[in-house]
Amino acid sequence: MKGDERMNEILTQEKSIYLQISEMIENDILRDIILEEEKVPSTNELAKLYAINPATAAKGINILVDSGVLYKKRGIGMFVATGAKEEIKKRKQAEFADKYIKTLLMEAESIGITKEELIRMIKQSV
Amino acid sequence: MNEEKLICRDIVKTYGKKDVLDHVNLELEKGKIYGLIGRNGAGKTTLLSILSAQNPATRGTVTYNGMPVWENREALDHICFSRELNPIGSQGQSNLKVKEYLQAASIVMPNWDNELAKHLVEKFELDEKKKIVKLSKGMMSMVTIICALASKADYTFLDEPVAGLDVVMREYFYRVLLDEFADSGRTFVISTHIIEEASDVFEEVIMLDKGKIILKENTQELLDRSRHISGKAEEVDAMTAGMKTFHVEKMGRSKGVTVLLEPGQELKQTADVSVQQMNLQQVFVALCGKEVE
Amino acid sequence: MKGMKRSLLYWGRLMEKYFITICFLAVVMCLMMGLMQGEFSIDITAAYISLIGILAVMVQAANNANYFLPQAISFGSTRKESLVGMQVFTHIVVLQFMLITMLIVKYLPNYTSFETKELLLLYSFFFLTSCGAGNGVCAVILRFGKSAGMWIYVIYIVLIVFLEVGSMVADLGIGAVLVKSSVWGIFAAVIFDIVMIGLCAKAIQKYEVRA
Repeated sequence: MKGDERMNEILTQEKSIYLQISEMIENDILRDIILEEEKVPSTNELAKLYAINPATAAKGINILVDSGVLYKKRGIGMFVATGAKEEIKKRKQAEFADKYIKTLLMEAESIGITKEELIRMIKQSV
Repeated sequence: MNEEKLICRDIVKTYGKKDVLDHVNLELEKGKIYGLIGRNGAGKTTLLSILSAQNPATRGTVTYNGMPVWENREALDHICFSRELNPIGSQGQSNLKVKEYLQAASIVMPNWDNELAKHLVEKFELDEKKKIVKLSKGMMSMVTIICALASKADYTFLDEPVAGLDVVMREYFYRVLLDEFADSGRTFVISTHIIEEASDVFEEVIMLDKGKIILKENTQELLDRSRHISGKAEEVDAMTAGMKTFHVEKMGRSKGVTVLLEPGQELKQTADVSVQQMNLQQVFVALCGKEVE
Repeated sequence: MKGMKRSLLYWGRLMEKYFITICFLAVVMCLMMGLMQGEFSIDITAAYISLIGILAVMVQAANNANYFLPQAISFGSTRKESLVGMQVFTHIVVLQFMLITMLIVKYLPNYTSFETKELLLLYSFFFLTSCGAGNGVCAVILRFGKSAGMWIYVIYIVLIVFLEVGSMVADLGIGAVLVKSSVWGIFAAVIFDIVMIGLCAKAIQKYEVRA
């Protein structure tokens, strides 16, 4: 397996394992740790690495296959599809509002920060 | 089509007046790692004993590939239940040394893999010449584990295999287990108290509570639909109206409950109510634990 | 049936190993006895060997019930296979002890008040009953636990020691009685053994391995 420097994150308890697996792979694709048309670790390799059940690792991989990020080369393994990096970026941009902004707004509201103050804070930090 | 499934139907086991197992129905398939979790006395060991025909059920049947397992050599060739050894010697260790015990196992078990056994003895740093009754709890667990893995049985059961092992050895055990699973695709059923660390290893989890199976589900799917809801009591009640709630925790104006979502149901976090995902241990405690006063 | 073969190998190994250990002990004991007396004769030697043999059979029966049977079942043996394996080798071992005792009776000087033929009959009787008693102990332990089994064990040992010592060493006249009815005795011992095997089989069938 190429690049043992990645996959150094440990699994957390907050999120489903298989989601963490698929996110880790996506992050690695974004960071150019795995390039397009390169092979990703097999289900068994992932299972061994994280001491998880292979079925769980497979589930994580299958999410990426279903979304088109990975494709299967029969007899060889899973590969990153061309254009996957862009796809992932676009999807994450679309999710950004839901994932981060909503939480930000909820938190701000619950502690009494007005919309104007919020916008000022963002402008200051950028 | 039975496809080498291990199926038990309506198993009842009574000791004296008590029903230790109450109409247990279970279907185990080839090629999966199951976690059997339950409190002390829930009936885990009894269930495993009956599944492996080591003890008879009071009522009900257990079949492997369609044939009953009781006193059936052909079926039993595919099943191995490696029990917890204990120092009192009720498992038959007597004065045997580790080496002799494993040798006895190798004679009786049809598919024994001696290479694997030797390899594991080395990796676990066991002194083969030591008498079993003189071993520490952890080392006894290692012998149990070696027996189970080297048996190469299609259905292998382990009862509290990590009892007495320190955390480093436990992690090593999970790896060894997964390696063997990857190589052979054997089915393993592991009963354990130490739920959280083992949960990553289980493809499916079976929860046994007071002799009944309350849940048998794919671990990831179970965790995907478990939510811990907490916040102001009224808000929590509003959000969980109509749902079955477990393990209600109350403190002052706040309230915490656990729910299991049905397919299609969704709960979103709001300003007043936290919606959190849970780990397997938390779900287990919520479903089987004592009610919070 | 391959399972049966494996069971025989399992029980055979365990019991023959035990037999050899006991023989070794017995030889040592008898050598010491013989050296102290200055010679080897039947009355002490055979008596000791047979006592040791009978004790060994009883201890082995207890071992079987307490350890080796639960172990066999926990390894996946069926109860039928275990019963057969255990019975076959219990009897083989008893025969082995009997043979040794017979050889001693035949070839060592006889200072007892019995004839060689009579001694052979007596010893056969004792050994055969020990077989049945062993099975009885086994059955009781399996059904009622270790402590209950110990009682039968103790009772039988006391009985045998009394009979043997009484008849051969201390010349209490019991021996004469036994010799007269010995043929019937042996027949009874065999029946006893068969009945005990049956009880043992039933006990095994009902036995539950407890964690």
